Amino acid sequence: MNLLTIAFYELRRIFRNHRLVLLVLSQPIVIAIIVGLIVFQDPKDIKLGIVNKNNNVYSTQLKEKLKNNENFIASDYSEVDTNEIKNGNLRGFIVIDINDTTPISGQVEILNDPTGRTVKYVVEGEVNKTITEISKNIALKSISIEQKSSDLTPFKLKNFDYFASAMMVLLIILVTINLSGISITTERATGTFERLFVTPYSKVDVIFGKALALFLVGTIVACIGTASLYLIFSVSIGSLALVALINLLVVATSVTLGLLVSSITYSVVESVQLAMYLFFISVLTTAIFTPIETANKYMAQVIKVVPFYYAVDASRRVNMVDAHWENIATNIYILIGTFLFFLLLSIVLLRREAK
Amino acid sequence: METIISVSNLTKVFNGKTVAVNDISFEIEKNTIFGLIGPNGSGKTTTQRMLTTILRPTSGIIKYKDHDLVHDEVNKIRQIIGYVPQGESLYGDLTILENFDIFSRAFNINASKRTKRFEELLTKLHLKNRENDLVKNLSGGLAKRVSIAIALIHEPEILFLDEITNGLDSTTRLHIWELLNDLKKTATIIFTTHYLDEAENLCDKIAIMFEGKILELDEPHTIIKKYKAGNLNEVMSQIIAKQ
Repeated sequence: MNLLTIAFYELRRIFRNHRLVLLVLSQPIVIAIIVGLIVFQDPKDIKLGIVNKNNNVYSTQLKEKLKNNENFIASDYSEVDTNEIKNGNLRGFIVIDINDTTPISGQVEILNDPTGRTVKYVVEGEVNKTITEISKNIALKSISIEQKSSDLTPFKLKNFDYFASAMMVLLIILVTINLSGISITTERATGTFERLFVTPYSKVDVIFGKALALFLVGTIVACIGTASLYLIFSVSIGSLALVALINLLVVATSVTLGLLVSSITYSVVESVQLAMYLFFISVLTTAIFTPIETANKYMAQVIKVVPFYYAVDASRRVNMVDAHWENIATNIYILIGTFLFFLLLSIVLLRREAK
Repeated sequence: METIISVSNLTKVFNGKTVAVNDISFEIEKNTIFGLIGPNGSGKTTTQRMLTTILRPTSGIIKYKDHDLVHDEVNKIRQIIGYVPQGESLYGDLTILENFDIFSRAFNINASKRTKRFEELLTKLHLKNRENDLVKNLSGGLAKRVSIAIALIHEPEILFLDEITNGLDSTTRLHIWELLNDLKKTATIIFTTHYLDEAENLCDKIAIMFEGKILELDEPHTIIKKYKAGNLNEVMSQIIAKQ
């Protein structure tokens, strides 16, 4: 019976904290919904550029059929612009090079964005299907159209590189959000926080001081994480300066998000729950497993307001397609803005007194 | 005597319904020991937390000499007060000196003055030769002395102590009483306590609080006389019986 007493009061303690109950019980529902909406469908609304080299009746017919494909959002381009892929505007280019002589011959070349991962298989399949349909329509004439596919990358990519670029970001979030998430609540529990606030230390001193220290710890974590992935698995790394910049901004953003968590929660257990909750949501919404094109159309819009999506996206583009500053500048500005927003919010919402 | 703290119509209401402190007024004179006493939940700690700038009053005025606490002079007041909370409230994984350092830097004391002050406090509070020990390894009495030392680092004019002798043995309590009598020469001391003998022996003036209100405000012996009692314990028993 003793164990029942312990169990009863353990449950009573948990269920008396309504905020904790809300956090704990909402997790399976929220996470299941997020996963369901993220891995919702086969890739759809894939943004592509189509280059029609010869502009004859057959190549135009193929181009129009591809543009009408329900999986694609295809636009005409006069030539391949690899910056459109590096900028993240397009998932690839379809280059149609078919002559109208007899026999009809030529090739359709697909240039894929490797950061889209499974998207390219859908593109290749749909292009193949369309070529077959066109061929049937003009079967009276002999026809020979070759389909080629390649990835836009200067690197020799492995399957793991897709995950490694995301992991560089997620490892930092995992460690720093947990560390910073409890930094204020543990001080509230020991009473040092109350004492600090009877001195002339201000809320800005406390948040900035903690952010600076945690930023340094996070930077070390980022270095170890990236170095481990590179040294153990020889993952592909693009511009080191950009990798460092993205990682530092992820450290800064996750540290300030953790401080925000710590500012608004009342106990260490609440802080840990909320920090882990946010971490899982971050993992799921950064398109780590499947590209954003598999998400439900509303979920795709939600993902675009999650700051760490931009970090993973930038990391993948730098490390997989050798994107440069101009290709990821928007992502960087979004991360800087988010970091400043979290910093400001954690100062504003920090309570001097314990609940 | 010069009044150092003046409190008028101070009220604190939590969540719009729980009245923790209900319209209290009192004055504290310089270089005296003022005691806030009363049973649990009487409002003494809430009163002290408002005086130490931790809690914002719902209404009322707190004046420190010429500074008004309720209106925008909080930082000036924090420069002149020291606070020893009920718990240890120390960084356990830092040494005594490191704890001194983190709190002293808030007051912008220059390095040489700081070092000198640390030495003085280590000697005064019998912490010499333990300065490099981690605070988590100290006994309760030693930790309490560190806690008091930290509150004294910037030589405050007013020192707040929240039930600091709770859980300490009688010898350590006596040491702390001696220390407070010594500190009274340079600072005004306001403390809350459950130990009525402590209040009787140490305080120049006491406020007896009950359910957020001050029921008695005077010198301990005057209050004892008024109630025709032998000591403050008997006074408290009479007050509780009446309520």
